[in-house]
Amino acid sequence: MARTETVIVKLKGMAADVLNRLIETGFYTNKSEALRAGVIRLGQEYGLVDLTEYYEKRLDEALRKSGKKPTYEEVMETIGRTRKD
Amino acid sequence: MKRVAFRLYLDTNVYVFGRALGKSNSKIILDLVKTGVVTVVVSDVLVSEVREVFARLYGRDAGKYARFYVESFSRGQKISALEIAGERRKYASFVKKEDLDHLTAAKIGEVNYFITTDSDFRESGAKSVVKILTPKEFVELVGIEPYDTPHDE
Repeated sequence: MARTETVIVKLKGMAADVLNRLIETGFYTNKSEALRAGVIRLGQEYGLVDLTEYYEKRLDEALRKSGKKPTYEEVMETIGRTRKD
Repeated sequence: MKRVAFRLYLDTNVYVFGRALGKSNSKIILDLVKTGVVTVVVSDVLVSEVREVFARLYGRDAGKYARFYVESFSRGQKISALEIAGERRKYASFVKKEDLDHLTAAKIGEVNYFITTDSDFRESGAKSVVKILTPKEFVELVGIEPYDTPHDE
């Protein structure tokens, strides 16, 4: 289980505006998600984290936890439907 | 293995099979991207689609991480929906409407190859404007022993 760190952050001015716009424009579903992504990107910028490795691991865990193993046809059908929606 | 820098556009199916199947040609390609042997072109439309497809197939968390995973390949440079909108008319006669944005993004990104398992797309008029390969064909092209999979995935 990943460690959870709770941080209370006060934002104002540009930082608050940018955060609100990231949600309003739909890039992120909520402020926590946007702030998490921002911290991880900072880590990448300063060479502390390999973003691809990090998200690859998270994604593989999510696939495993889902327990789902769609067939080739199901995958292609889902892509087709998504593309038409 | 041939040490040539290839520039690719990976269709959504390559990301799905590459992460979902342990032994697949798609996974080999995703690993090659990490090593820098190939670079991939990422577009807004691709990121949204990958997120939605993973969410529909594996749940919301998978969709969220798939989106960030694909974005991490873009190195901060993504073909925007605006750029695609400005160019898509040029390629409208070559593919079905639903595939047009991906073809347009690949052309804007000046890729060497469009990689997909989609046989309809491979047989479409798109092949006259961009070189299309299956994951297996690309893996063979770079000199790696491919996996023998039913759909070249």
